[in-house]
Amino acid sequence: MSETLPILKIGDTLLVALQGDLDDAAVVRIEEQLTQEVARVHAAGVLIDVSGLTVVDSFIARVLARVVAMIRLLGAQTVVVGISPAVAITLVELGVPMGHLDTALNAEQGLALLRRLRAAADHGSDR
Amino acid sequence: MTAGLAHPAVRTVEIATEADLIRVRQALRAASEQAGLGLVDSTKLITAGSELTRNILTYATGGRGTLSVEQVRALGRNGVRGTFTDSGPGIPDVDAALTDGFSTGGSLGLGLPGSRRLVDELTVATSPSGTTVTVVKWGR
Amino acid sequence: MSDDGTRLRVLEAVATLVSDGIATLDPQGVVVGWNAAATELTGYEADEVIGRSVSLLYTEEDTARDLLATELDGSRGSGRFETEGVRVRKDGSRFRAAVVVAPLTGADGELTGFVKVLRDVTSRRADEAMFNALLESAPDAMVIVDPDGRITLVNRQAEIMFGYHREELVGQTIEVLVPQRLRGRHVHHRDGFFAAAQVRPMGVDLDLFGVRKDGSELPVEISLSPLDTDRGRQVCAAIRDVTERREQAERLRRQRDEIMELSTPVIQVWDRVLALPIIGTLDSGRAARLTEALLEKIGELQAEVVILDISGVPTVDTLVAQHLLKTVQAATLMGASSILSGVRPETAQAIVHLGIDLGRLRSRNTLREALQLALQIVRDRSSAMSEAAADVAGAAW
Ligand SMILES: Nc1ncnc2c1ncn2[C@@H]1O[C@H](COP(=O)(O)OP(=O)(O)OP(=O)(O)O)[C@@H](O)[C@H]1O
Ligand SMILES: [Mg+2]
Repeated sequence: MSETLPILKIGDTLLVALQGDLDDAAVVRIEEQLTQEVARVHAAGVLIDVSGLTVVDSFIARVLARVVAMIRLLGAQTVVVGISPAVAITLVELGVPMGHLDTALNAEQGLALLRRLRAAADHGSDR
Repeated sequence: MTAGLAHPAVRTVEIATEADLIRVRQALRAASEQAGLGLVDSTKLITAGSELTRNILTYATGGRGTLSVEQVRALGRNGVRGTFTDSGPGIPDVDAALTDGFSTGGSLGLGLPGSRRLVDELTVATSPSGTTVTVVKWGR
Repeated sequence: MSDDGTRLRVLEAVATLVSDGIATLDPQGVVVGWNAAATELTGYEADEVIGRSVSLLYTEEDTARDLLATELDGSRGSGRFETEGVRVRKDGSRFRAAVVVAPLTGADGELTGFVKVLRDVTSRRADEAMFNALLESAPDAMVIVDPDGRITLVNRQAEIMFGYHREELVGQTIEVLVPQRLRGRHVHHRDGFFAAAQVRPMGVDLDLFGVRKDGSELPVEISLSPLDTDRGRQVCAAIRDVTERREQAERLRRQRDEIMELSTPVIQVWDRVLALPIIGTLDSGRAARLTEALLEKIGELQAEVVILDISGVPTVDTLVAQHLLKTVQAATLMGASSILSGVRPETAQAIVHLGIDLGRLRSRNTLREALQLALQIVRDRSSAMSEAAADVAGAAW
């Protein structure tokens, strides 16, 4: 299984949509591809759309959190969009700590949030 | 007899590799749809099933076990019961294992307590010759 | 100093006074003494049985399985052997006897023989027959259980309710009628009841379930009463199928919930701003439904800000605060910001004292102030959004 993850690039922002029922191997593969791509193209922002995921269990959630942390180390910001009501409630009940995740309702709002995050990050590095 | 009978169809899924996670989720999703569970309830059940399957893959001997899924009915409500069985080493301290943050695998220790919050009933029967975790999610 | 002969004579003197049949036996079970009551009970005169084995009272089956050895060895082992069974009179008629056998020992502790007491309990059986008739006519399923939890008697209603034949139930532990998931707990409660038995309903306010032979469950209501019998304390459980009653209660509960839900609507107060005025107490079920309704609306209307107004919640305890926190967390995951409004001073104190971390949650005293803040947030975001759109458009060129 080596299907590649379609990663869209708009300006210095990467867009990726996760879809379907992912097994652990697929999740880990996505993690690797995405971080490599961020480094390769020097992306400043990443938008991960998870509206196509039917289930986000603690493993997938943890990998997502890991990807976000790695991308931050690579100098970029990540916003996750499209968490459905069912998935949101489930993650909260499950108790996976997601406090550090930046989220938005849709791609449009996600791009706006990315912009604000980058402004804040740049501002922070000035000081 | 007015009280309904347990749905006769029992589906079983062998758990042996990570790829079986998907089969487990599919079986639980199919049963949830049959029982008329809403999207939120079925998502909770499937997620709990994912966690319990992962526990079997991690902690049971050879990472092997079985899920059986059946529809249940009581008090005019439909529900789904999933029974996760393995013949692994068992859980020495069930109360601890059901506590947030307890893990012998250096993990977050969320699987069991989190699953319990996601379903309506969760019971653990365990001995040194194996573990059975049963979950039930009722429709509304 | 009393020799063995004197002891035996004392025993025989006592034997003439009692109404139970008493036989004294030598160590092999041969009759050496026989009181008048024994004659009355069995039809054998003393001189007809003395010198013969006491097994002449046994049925053929009991003789074949060497009941004599069982009785004598049993009494020697534990100092006393009790049994109940059928015995045969001289005329061949049968009676039901309660039997006690005890060993006799000499001054040095050596076995000198046995004493065997026989009581006709056929008439007690008649009482039992009446009891059984009563049991059978009861409208509820009745199950009688001994202190080990074994079923000793069931009635017809119990057979119908649980789908078993009585032969399948008698001798089993009562837990066969309890769903697997509740069994462990049940054994525990059962021991507790035997320790402090009194007539009482079981598991007051508990949802009790029974399980039929085919595995299906039924909701039940159970009333327990201790039953002191000559076989020790037993417990009689009267079991009633309450499927219909529970279904009705469930329907009522759901109707009530629906009315509650209607009284707590999610309101769109502005473009992309929702308000949820929570009125009344929040239990887990209601909190879950409110959260779901709110999140659905967030998705549907793509709302960016949610105002949770709690001025109508009488007390905010740990549980309510935790429900609120979960709602806020779930809304945040979807990408909506939350504002809490209507926090009274005592509520603020409670939340802080409880050590509940409401995280980045913003709070305003009144709904009006909360709304102002919400509009501010939406305005800021939409300007960021148009700038972002310009970026993307620029990049696409
Ligand atoms: N099927 C099982 N067989 C044996 N032990 C188990 C089994 N399931 C769980 N356990 C034990 O219970 C503990 C708690 O399980 P739980 O799923 O809550 O946490 P975890 O698996 O350690 O971490 P997480 O699920 O958050 O990754 C495990 O660490 C393990 O010791
Ligand atoms: Mg786990």
